[in-house]
Amino acid sequence: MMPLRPLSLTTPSRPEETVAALAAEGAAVLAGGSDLIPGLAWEIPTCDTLVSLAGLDALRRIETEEDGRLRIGAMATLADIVRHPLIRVGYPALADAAQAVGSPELRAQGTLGGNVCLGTRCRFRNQPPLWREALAPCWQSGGEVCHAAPAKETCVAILSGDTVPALVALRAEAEIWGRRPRRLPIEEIYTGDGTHHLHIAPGEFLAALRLPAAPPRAAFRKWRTRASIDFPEANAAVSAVWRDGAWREPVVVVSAVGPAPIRVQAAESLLDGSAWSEERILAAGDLARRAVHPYDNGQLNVAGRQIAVRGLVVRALGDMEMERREPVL
Amino acid sequence: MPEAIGVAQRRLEGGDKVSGRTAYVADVRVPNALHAELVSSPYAHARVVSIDRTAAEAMPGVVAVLTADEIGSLGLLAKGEVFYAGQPVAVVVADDRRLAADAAQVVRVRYERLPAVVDPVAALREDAPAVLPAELRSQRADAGAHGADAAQHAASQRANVCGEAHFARGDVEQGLRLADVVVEARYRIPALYQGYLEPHGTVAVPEGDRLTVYTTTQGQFAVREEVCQATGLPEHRVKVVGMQVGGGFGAKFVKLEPLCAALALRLRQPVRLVLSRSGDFLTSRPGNFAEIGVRLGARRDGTLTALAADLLLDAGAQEDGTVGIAAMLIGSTYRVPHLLVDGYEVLTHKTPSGAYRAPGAPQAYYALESAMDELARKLGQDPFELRLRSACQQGDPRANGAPWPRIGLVETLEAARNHPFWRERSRQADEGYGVAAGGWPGGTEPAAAACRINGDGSITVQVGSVDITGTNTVFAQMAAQVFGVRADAVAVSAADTDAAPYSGSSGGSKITFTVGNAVLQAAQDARQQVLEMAAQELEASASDLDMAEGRVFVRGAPSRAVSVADLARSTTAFGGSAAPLVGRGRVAIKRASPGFAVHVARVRVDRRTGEVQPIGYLAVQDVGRALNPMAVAGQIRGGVSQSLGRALGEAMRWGDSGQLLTGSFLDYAVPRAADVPPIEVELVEVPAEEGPFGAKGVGEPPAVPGAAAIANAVADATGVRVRDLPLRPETVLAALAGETS
Ligand SMILES: Cc1cc2nc3c(=O)[nH]c(=O)nc-3n(C[C@H](O)[C@H](O)[C@H](O)COP(=O)(O)OP(=O)(O)OC[C@H]3O[C@@H](n4cnc5c(N)ncnc54)[C@H](O)[C@@H]3O)c2cc1C
Repeated sequence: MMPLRPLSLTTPSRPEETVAALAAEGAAVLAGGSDLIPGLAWEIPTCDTLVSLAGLDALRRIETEEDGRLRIGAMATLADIVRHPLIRVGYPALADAAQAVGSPELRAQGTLGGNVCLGTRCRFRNQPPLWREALAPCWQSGGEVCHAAPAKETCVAILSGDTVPALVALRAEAEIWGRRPRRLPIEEIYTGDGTHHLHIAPGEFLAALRLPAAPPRAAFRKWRTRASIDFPEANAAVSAVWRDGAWREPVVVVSAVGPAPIRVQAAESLLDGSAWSEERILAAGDLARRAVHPYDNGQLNVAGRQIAVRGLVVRALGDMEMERREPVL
Repeated sequence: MPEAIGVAQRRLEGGDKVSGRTAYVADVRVPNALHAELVSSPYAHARVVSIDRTAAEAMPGVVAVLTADEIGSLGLLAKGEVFYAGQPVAVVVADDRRLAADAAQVVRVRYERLPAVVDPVAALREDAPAVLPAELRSQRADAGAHGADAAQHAASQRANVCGEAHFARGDVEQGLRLADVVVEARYRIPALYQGYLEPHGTVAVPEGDRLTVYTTTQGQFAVREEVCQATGLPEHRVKVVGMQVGGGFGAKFVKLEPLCAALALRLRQPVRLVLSRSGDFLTSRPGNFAEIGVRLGARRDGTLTALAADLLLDAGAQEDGTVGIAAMLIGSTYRVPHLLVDGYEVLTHKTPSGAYRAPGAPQAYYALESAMDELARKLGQDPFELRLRSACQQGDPRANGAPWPRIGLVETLEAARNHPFWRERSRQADEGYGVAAGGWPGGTEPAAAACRINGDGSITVQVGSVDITGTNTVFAQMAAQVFGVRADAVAVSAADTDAAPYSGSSGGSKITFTVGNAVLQAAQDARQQVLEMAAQELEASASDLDMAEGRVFVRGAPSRAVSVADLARSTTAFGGSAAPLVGRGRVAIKRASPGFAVHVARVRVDRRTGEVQPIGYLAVQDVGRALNPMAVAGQIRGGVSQSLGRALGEAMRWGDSGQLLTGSFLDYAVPRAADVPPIEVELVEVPAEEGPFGAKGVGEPPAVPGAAAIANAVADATGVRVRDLPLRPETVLAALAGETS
């Protein structure tokens, strides 16, 4: 691999120092570095100072809060999540999603915070510098064109974190630290613009994710070429509560088809208030398929990704309905 | 007496490799080495208008910025015009690697973009612009076509055809009319990167009037020859040190060496050039894209009446020669009275194609064995039954009419059919089994070897071949067998080109077959020398003596014995009386040893997502004689794994303007361990007449049938046939959707 350009690295041990360091021009958060470092070797993105979160011990913890919520520090690794008993039992869809990320090495190194904040990806951008030289600069590199969607005024690069749909389906809340710490539903941290895809300002960082004490049941599914490593070309999660002989409050969320996760409300209405017959599940899958409009910026093609979205939602809903009928445990 | 042949033996160098002690070329450290970095074209086809090097040259530590104008093309550098994206146009040499990379970025090259011919089908058209100017084309000899007609000759005249092969027998249209059932289909298999772990790299060190080249290559003598041609040095002044190779699979013959050597000679300083992975992808020599049309006819009972095949291979931006093998194999596997094979290879503005493990064969057999499977389905016949009815045997004509020597295709098919993996198959919903055969003609090349008995009686074998598959381990086993000792009593020294006897490159599945024979001869020669010394000592006739476990004894009277060590000591002592023991082997085997393999794949397909999961695999192969069954099984498992990549994920893809879209291991989907199912291996041993102990080439056949086996299994599972590889989920989904709508 190409040697990295010289960078400076700071590892503060107090949150105030982290906030101050991150407010500086050209600073970026370094978590596990599993995506950031290989990206820097290709000069995607460019920054001069890495501010590591590794000095903040509180960020590595996974613990139950007083009100019963599960709090997962942003620096918990994906491997920590996969093997944590509280998550395996109470929030298995999150463990499944974490397990679906990359390879064992990447899960040992990559963090949940890094996965949620992962930079968006695009076939025309995530390429070596020489490759990009042949194309005019795009929105992400200071230009005014999108090679994947020339008619679009903004970047449509793909949100590729696998845990995102699972966290949305589980109704997770993001805790952001900065000069003014705040909490918001995880979906609300995504802007929908691939270039600045997070509502996280300079000087802020994601500190933790909080999951409800009594989570809904949920299921996660992912679509890509190799099960052993590849980024998602589409992924989906569903959740609902089984109460009084019917599924209630369903969530259907599809991701990795654009810069932000997509809630499929039409499918949610269809699924609310009944058990799920095969027909209903298939109809929900069709609605999901119609709700997504991927661009040709992944490795797999647009038509395939669209049909796959239906398949993923059908499979995830099927998983939940089957497990209700015949619980595995 | 311990048997060394046919015994599972760990690879001699394996421990060093898995524990990280092996030194590869990138680990070679020489004092005062300069670092070279390539400046490459982002465009597939362009005229180089100007190269401004002032900014780069002004950087402290930059030693030189050179182009083809000063040092020539050296097989790599563009001269005035670039023909593929990633082609180097200049090279920067600096004290430090990072510096060289930074300097390369400030070399200002102005290009005038020219239209790129990317699609091989378009390149074949009559009105297609010429990809390469005439001076870069070799004078093509007449195609030497057998039965070629006027239409073929017209096609041969087209600007971008750079190779062709034609075979005909009988009247294929007549043969198709005689058929009750005809399969007509077109198959596509993409260009493939060989996926070795170690990128290309070379270190060239000038020393007085000599030059030493450390490099990662499958053939150090081939490197020496090309370096000498490029630099004008005679072969005895150039030493090539073939390092341990971190995977080659056909990609590592000669690439960076002439350039690196020329730089070192010009700058009178050692020069190191090691590619990054993306640099390696851009200048790789991938296996050819192929589009193959097949028409295959049979009687209702499965007797083949006719086979017509047209092949189009993509050579990229340099002439290549793979189409001959592909065309030959497709027409030589089954007995068929009416045959017509037309193969063309065309130039395009893409990185030049090269060899990938059994070049041409996976392409040919993907088409042939898919078509055979389609035919079996149409006829409602068992896939083995159909193949066994027509499988070629000794004496049957190949496509060019020459008879096959003794081959093991029938035996291999039978062994697969009788294996429990097939016999006891059970097919759950959405699962399927696929069968495919494939073969490789094997290769030959003269080779020599030496076998020395050291003063303590231990044995050293000397060869010049590069060990990429465990050949040195097998050489140790061979010598051990001859001397009746254990393999670890033998050292194999794979020396550099100054010290080693000649060997061909490790390609074509020929090293064990050719160098192995030389080793065997050398060991037998050394053994005879020992016996003759012992005969004097024991006052017996050499023909009455035998040897085992380091002792020579009189047959029938084992107490009359002398140790090899005692004999050997007297050949290395001051004032000693006997000449040193050095056995010599030199061979020029003329007939290759074709090898066949039959694979059976079991897959599960998710109809909703198009995902194909291989869940079981059987690989049966005729290996002549398994000299080291462990190494043979390793070769087979590796070949199967590569075939899974070819079938399910791998593809070099280019955009419309010739940009490589799959320039890293993120986008180029090589299977990882977790993607590979358990592989059962079954060996068939139909001895090769001229092979050492009956062995034949083992390395290439296991990479041949897999793609068709997987595609046939997917067809079995879904009832839907996908003919364009790879069968990625998008492709399978599209096919399933087409089926349901
Ligand atoms: C070969 C390969 C395959 C991969 N496959 C997958 C896959 O299948 N699925 C998948 O989801 N990911 C995949 N990844 C990406 C990556 O490994 C994971 O997403 C991982 O979870 C990232 O976490 P990290 O801690 O390493 O993040 P880093 O690399 O350290 O950071 C990623 C980004 O998030 C920002 N960031 C990190 N933490 C925070 C925080 N707390 N607050 C604000 N910003 C933050 C960083 O500044 C950076 O922009 C893959 C990566 C590679 C190299």
